[in-house]
Amino acid sequence: MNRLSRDQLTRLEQQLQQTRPHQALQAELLDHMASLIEQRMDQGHSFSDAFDQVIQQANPQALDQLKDLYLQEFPTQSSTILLRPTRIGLRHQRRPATKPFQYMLLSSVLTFLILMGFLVVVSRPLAIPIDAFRTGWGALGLTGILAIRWWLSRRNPKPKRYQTT
Amino acid sequence: MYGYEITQAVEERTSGELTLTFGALYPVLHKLEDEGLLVTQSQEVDGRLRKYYMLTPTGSATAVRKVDEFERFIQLMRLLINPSPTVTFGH
Repeated sequence: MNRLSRDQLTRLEQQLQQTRPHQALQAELLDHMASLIEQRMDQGHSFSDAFDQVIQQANPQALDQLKDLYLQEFPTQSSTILLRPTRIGLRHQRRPATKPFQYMLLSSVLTFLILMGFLVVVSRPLAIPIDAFRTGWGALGLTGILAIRWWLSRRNPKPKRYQTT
Repeated sequence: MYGYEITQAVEERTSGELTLTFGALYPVLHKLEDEGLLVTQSQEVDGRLRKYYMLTPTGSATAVRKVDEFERFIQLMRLLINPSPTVTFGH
């Protein structure tokens, strides 16, 4: 049985590289095509003839279709060489999407700090002392506030919820 | 079995009636591997890497089930094409 020499295998490998097959397929395609060439050589063909026949079978269009199929079916699979840059690339692609979240977080923190500052600096002199509610007038005022709140809640009933099917 | 060996086995068993191209074979093999129905073992043979595929226990069970399903399907197709005289389809 014929076996391809190192040079013949290198030639096939170079030819295959030109078609840029999907990384998941490269090694297997090389073995498959080498086996096909060897089979034809066993049938009496010369290496050149067998090589041309097999290369015709694995034309760039067919390999392109196969590559597209692999990109659709196995998008996460990539070569070990391309693995690191691809992950970094993906991280960089994701970065712009996280920016609005960062801005939102920053503005929330800023608002919180301003509010706290307002409460500490401004509200203390305006605060009503707790003793004020211990007197009869204080209790009356508190009852009045509760009554106004109850009256307002009656005037503005909660909007109805609509259920979607 | 490795990829080329599988194509040869198919061709041999069907007396050359069915030819499995690498474009049809490898996506299926890799999908089954991805689903955990096949495991692979790579070995260097004649200066190139060869990947052998083997069924996992789940893969074997699935294969048996799928063969049964396919045989049932063929039975139904036969019935549709050549209905037995005892079977009636309406009036």
